[in-house]
Amino acid sequence: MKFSLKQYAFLLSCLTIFIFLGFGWYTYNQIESAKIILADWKFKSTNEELSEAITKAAEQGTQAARKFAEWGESGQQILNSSFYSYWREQRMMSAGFLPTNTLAANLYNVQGESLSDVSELTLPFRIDPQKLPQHFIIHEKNNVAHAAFFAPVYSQGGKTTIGFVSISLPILPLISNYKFYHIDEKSIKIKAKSGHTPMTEIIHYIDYEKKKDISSVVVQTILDNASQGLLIASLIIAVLLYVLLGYGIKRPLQSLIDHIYLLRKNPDFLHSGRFLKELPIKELNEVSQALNAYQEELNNVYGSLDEKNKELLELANTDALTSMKNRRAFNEHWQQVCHIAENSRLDICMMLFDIDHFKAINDSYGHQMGDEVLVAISGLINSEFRKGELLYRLGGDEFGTVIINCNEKTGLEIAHRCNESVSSFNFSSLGIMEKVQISIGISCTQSGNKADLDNLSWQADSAVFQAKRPGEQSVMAYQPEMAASSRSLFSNWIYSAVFKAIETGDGIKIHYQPIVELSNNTINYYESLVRIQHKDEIIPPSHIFPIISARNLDMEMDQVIVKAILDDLEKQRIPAGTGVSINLSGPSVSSTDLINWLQPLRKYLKQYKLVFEVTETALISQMSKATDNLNKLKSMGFLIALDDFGSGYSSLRYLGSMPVDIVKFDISLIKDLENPKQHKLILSLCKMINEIGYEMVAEGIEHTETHQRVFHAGFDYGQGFLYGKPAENFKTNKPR
Amino acid sequence: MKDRLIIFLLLLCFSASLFSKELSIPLNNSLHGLAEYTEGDKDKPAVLILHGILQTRNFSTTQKIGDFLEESGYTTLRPTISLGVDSRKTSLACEAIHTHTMESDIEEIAQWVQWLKKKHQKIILLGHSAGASLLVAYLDKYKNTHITPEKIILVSLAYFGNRPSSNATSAEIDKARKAVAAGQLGPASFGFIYCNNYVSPPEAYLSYIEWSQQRVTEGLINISSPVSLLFGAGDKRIEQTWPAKLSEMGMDVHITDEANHFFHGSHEFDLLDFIENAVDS
Repeated sequence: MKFSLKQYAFLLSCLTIFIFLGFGWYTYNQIESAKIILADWKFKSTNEELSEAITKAAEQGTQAARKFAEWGESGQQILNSSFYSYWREQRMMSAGFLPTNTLAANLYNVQGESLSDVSELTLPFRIDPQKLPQHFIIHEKNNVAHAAFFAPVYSQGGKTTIGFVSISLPILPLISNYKFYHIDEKSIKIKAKSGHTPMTEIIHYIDYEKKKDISSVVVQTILDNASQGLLIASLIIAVLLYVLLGYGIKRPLQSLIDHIYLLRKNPDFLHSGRFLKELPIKELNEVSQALNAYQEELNNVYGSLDEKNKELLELANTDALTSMKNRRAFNEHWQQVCHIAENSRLDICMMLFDIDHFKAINDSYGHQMGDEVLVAISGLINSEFRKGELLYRLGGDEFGTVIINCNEKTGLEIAHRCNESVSSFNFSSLGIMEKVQISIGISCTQSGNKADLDNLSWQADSAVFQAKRPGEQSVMAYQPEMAASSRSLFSNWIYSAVFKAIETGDGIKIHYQPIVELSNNTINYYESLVRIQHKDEIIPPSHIFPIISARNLDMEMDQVIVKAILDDLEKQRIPAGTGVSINLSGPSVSSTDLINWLQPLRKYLKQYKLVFEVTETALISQMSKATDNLNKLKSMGFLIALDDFGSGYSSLRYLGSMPVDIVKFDISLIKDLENPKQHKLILSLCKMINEIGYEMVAEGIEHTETHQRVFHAGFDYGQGFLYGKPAENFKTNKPR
Repeated sequence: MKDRLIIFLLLLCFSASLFSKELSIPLNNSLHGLAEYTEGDKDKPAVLILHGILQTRNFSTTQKIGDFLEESGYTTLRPTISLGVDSRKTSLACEAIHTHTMESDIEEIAQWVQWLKKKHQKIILLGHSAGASLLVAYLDKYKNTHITPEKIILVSLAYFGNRPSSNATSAEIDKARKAVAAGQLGPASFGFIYCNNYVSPPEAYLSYIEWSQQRVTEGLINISSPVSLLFGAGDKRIEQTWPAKLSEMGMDVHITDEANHFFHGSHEFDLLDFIENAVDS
């Protein structure tokens, strides 16, 4: 489960609130516990305080009684009570020796008898001199509780007791006089209790209210405020955290992410865009710096790759021999030109160059010299071009160019210059004694029509073909009558259909002709033969391959054919237990990429017998590479058949040096079997090939007699109309 | 002389009480009397110092005189007249019932003189204010039957009847006399010396009033021992001309200018100078 940064911020905020609330709850509980402890302590303190107040009150009362006893006049009255009544009424209370709130006071002689005959309600009339009351008398009078205090009166400096005193004081003022901290002294009330009650028990008859503890109220208020503050603070902190994480981190992070997405979506941005924002977070800033550094490194790598690509493209588009652009470059350039010229009124001129009798030069002076001629001529032609005009080597001895903004007149001028340049070149410096000439065909259009542009190619080709004709000028511009006169068989639509088939595969039809095992007359495998269907017409190989050959499209055609066969294999259209033989052109056999594009066939080797047929002609050029490729194919399990054996001049030479499994005798040799003189030679040849171990296929078998002959000659397989014509549908029944 | 007095006063604080003790003796009226007794040099006479009316031995004037004499090596006895209060330690308020009389006071003085005489051969009697007049009355009563002091020193000698600035007006005295005549012997309020409300049985009250200027003068004349008198010129409690009259009568009278009844302030030194001279002579 993955969360966004905002969600994490929200979770963190919630966590913060939870922690704060938890802390607040814990603190609240602690405070409540403290309150209970405090209340308990207060209760005890209150009781202790009240007890102490009562004790102090008793001490004060006793002290007042002692002071009264120590007053000289008290002793004077006890010793001489003649005027006691007068003294008691006039003097005793006003002399200042008794507390002002004294309710009553009395003197007793040493026997404990009151000196007065007046009985006081709050004081005893007689006391026990041996045992002074140790308790206090609580008596109700006007709802006021009183306490009586007693003290002895001494003479001779305290040596002799001469009498006693008693005073009656209201107890409440005495108690209230105490400095209370916990009890509201104004609230103290003593419940009505008649009779005598010991002072020690008075606490049970006292009602009071506790003082409002302002400090605890203040503390409570502070704590309440603190709790509210804590809650608000936690909310604020949570919101701030959310905002900080959500915007302080998420926004710069999002900015970085957007930048990276932009880089991913738009690679061009890599070269120009740097993350320039200064981010508020150090680590993110480091990430952005690292990203910029990484981007810079990537830029360098891209730059290096671009250069390499350019170099590779240059190599791929350049002919290694002449350093001119090759056919691949020509095709790309032509597409660009078509793109530009379509729907415009630009003059487009295609120009094709062909070296006259170049094969003869090769044959006569060898390939090396032929190559030197190619280099020299390409240089001469190129030197006549204007800036921006390029010469392309289209294959073999054929060169071409496309010139924009060039009408037929200008094109002819350029062509003539080129022709003149070549004609005037001293080829003897290369060791060639014969005159070397070129034929140039041009075709121009201004229509901007796609069909017209498509036609330029074969029209220029026709012009070259025309220029090569004896008696014709070396430079020819295409004229409509050329199509009929020179290569009338190659109509416009055939060209278009062939090119389209190579380009897109459209119209490609593979016809399969059975190859029969002669020993049992069963179909062993089929030779695949290409046809191109255009509308309702089938273009035969005889029309296809001249165009292919002229345009050096052999390999491209082979690839299209292989692709079509792969489709048939995939759809299991080819009968099980048989096989397919595929013709490979010379350029394909010597191609460095051959193994790669034949690789998809490999998986059908278990089900089918797959044979590649190559001709002697194909083996002539690039012998070494061709041998290497065929060896690899053999090792992969494919079979190699040497086609048209005996049609050339060095068949045995190639047979000896090439990795061949099957030898397909040319039809001319099979026909020679009918000739008694040559019959023996063919038989000997068959015997020899048979002994070497090659399987042999006889082509062109149309009659049963021929069948008998080849069988007896030792051929393994036979191919011909006798067994079946090339057809789209497979013939599976046994031949006659 | 003044320097010596200053040193004396400083030392007084530290040593005065070291040799003093409080005495309590049973009085004839079943009360107990208190006194402070300080023993001094045996070759010097012992001095009995008596305080004024309603005061105690600790009254400031007599306290200073006693301290001075004790420091000078004299044995002193400073009794507190009980005034009817057992072991009296504090002054007696005007409003208290004053059952004491001149006679009861004289008897207490006699008891203290007897007590002192038992210890010392030579004694000097020194009284202040009413204490001086009590001494005169004591000497008058026991002039033939009692001991003869070496010296009588009377400071601010006062009298009770016909006394200026006294609340014992003629009306008050008449009221007392009428009460006695009417048999109303219970306590009543009278004007007496500085008291407006002096509560006393009329007979007891009159026992003091009878000791007027004339009666005191007569008592002085009858004293056989040498008598030295000191008056303050500013003493308002006696008739101003009385000291001069006594002097004219041949008595040893000393008058300190501007001094009041108590010799307050700087006159304290004059008082002590007089005492020193008087006891030495």
